[in-house]
Amino acid sequence: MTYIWKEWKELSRGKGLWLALSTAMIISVFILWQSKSLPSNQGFEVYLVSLYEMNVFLIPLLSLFISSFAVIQEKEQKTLMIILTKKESYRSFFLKKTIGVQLITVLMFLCWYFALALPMKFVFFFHVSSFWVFLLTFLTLLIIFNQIGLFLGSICDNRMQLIGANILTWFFFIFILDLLFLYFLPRVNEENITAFSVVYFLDPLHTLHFYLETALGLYPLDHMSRLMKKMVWLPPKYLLPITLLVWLTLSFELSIRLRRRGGIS
Amino acid sequence: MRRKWYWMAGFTLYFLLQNPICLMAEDPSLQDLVDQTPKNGILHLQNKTYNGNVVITKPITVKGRSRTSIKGDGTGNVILLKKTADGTRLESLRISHSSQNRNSEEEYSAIKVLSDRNVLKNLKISDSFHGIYLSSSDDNELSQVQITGIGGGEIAGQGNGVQLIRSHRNQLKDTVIRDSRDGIYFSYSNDNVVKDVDISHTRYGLHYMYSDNNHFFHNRFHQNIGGAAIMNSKRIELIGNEFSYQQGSRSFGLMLQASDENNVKDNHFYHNQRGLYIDLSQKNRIISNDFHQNRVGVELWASSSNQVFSLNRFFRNILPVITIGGRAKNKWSEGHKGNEWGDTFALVDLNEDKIGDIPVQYQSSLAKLMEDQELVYLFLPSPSIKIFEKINQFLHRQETVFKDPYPLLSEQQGGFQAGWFLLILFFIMLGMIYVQRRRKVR
Repeated sequence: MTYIWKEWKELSRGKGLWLALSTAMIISVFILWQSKSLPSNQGFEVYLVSLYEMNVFLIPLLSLFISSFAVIQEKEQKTLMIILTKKESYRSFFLKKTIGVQLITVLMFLCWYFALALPMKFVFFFHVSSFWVFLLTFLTLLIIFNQIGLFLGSICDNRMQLIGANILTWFFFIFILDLLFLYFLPRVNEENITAFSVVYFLDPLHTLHFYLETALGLYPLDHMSRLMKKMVWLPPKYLLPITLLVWLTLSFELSIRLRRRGGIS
Repeated sequence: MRRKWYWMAGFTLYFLLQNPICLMAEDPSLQDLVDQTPKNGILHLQNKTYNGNVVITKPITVKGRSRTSIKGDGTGNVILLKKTADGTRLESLRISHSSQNRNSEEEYSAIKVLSDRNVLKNLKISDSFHGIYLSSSDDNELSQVQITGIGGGEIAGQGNGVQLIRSHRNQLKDTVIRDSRDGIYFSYSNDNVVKDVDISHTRYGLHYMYSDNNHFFHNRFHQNIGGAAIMNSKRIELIGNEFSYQQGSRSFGLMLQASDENNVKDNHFYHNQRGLYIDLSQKNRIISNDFHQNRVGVELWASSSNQVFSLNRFFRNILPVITIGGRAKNKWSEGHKGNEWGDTFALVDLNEDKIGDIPVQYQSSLAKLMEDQELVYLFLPSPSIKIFEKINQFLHRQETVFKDPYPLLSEQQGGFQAGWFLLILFFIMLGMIYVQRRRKVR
C-alpha cells in the first residue's frame, strides 16, 4: 500500500499521466462527436471500435513513456540504490513497482471511461456488455504496454536511451511488425497457417482488435473459409488471456534478468 | 357410509346428464373450422393456441386476434394453401412448429403457398424450417410479417425466411427476418417488389438465382454474412437500401455475380468488409451510393466490365476501390460527373464548379496480394497498410485501379478538417492560458 501511495504521488506530480489521460479524453469526446450520426442501433459498437482503433496509436506510446520513466526515475534519483540496500531484492522492488504503476494507470483510465459512459448513454443505444468488452480490451492494451514500458525502463541506463527504445518499440508494434507480416503473407499456405497464426496472435494489437470485433458481434466467426478456420484455431476469448499472460510474464522476467543498474554498481 | 356413496354416485350421474357436452365432446379442430367456413367466408379465431397442421383448399379469410397462435405437429407444413385457394387471406396469426425434416420429399415451412393472389398480413412465424414458401405462386401480398429462424448450428439445418420458387409479381413489405439461412431466397422468380424489409443475422440477407426484373426499395440488410447476393440475374433495381455491418472474412454488403444491367442507386454501404463486390457482371449502373467506412468500398474482379460509377460518395473506406485480376474496362463518370472520393485525393477546383480540375488516378499494390491470399483482409485496419502502399509506390509496383476524369469535390472532407482545426485551436488557446497563469504565479 505504501508503494502504491508513493507511486501515485510520483505519477500525479509528473505530467505524463495527465497528458495521457487528457489525450484519451480529447480523443474519446472527438470521436463521440463524430459518431453521433452513425446509422442504426449498432452505432455504439462501431463507436467503441473506432475509439479503440484511435487509442491503439496513442495508448501504447503514452503507457510506454509513463511506466518506463517511473523506473528510470528510481535509477536517476538513486532511490533504487537506497531501496536495494535495505535487503529488498530487485524482483520484490520490481513487483511492487509493477503493481503500483498498473493499478494507478488502470484506475485513472477506468474513472475516465465510466465518466464517459454517461454521454454515451445519451448518444447511443448503450449496451452494457459491449462496454465491458471495450473496457477489457482497452485495459489489456494498457497493461501489456505498461509492462513493456517497465521492462524498457529496467534495461535502459539513461533517459536518452529510454526515449529511443520507447519510440522504436512503439514504431515496431504499430508499423514494422505488420509490414513484416505483409511481406511474408504470400508464403502462407494451409501447411504453415497454424504457425503463422501463433505468431500473428502473439502480437497483442492483432489479438485485441480481433477479440474486440468478434466479442462485439461485428466480426462473425461462422461461415469462414478453410484457411480462416485454421487461422482462428482458438476462440478469441482464450487468445486474449493467453496473449496477456505471455507478455506480462515475458516482460516481467526479462526485466529482472536483463536489468541495468543505471550507474549503481 | 354406504349412504354417502349413493349420494355421491347420484350427484355425479345427475351432473353428467345435465352437461353432456362439457365432458364428452371436444372442441372442433382448426381443420374442421376451416372446412366449415364457406368459400370467400371469414373465419374468426379466438385468443388461444390451435393445433395444426391445416390445409386450405378454397379462398377464405382466417383472422386471428392479438394472441391467436397456430402450432403445427412438427410433421409437415403448418398451413398449406392449395392450388385451389386463390385469394386467401391470413391475418394476425402466430405460426410455429413446422417439420424440420430434411430427408422428406419436400422442404416444409410455416406457410406454404401454392395458389395466387393471397394476402398474408401481420404474421409472426417461428420454430419452422422455412418461414413462408411461395411455390409457383404469383401476385401475393406479404406485409407486417415477422420471421425468426432457428439460428446457429449448421447452415444446412436452417431454412430461409421467405422462399420464392418460380413465383412472380409478389410484393413483400414491412417485414422483419432474422436468424434464418437466407433472409429471402429467389429462384426463377421475376417482377417481385421487396420494400421496407429488415433482414439481419442470416447467411445472405437476399439470395438470388436466375430471377430478373425485381425491385428492392428501402430495405435494411445488416449483420449478415452477406447483405445481398445477386447471382445470374438481370435488370434488378436496388434503390435506397442500407447494407451495413457485414464484417466476416468473406462478407460483403452487395454482391453482383454473373448479373447484368442492374441499377444500384441511392444505397448506403456502411461498415462492411466489402461494400460492393462485382464479379463476372456487365453493364451495371452504380449511381449516387454512399460508401462509408467499409474496409473495401468496391471490389471489382477483372471479369467484370462496362459498369458505370457516377455520383457515388466514398468516405473513410480503407481502400475505396480495388480491382483484382487486372484492370477491367469500367466507366468512372457519366455526363461529366465522376464520384466523390473524400480525403483519398486532394482536388483543385479553380473554376468552382465542384468538379476537380484534374482527373484523379488511384493506384494500389494490394490487388495482387489480395488475389493470392485472403488473409490480407486481416491487415486492412493496420496503419502499416499505408506504409506498404507508399513503399510499393516508390518501387513502382503499383497498378492503376481506376481513373476518374471528373472527380467531385467532397463536402464531408472539408467539414472533417474544419472540426480538427477548431479543436486543435481550442487546445492551443487552453495551453497558452495555462502557461500564462503559471508565469503569473511565479
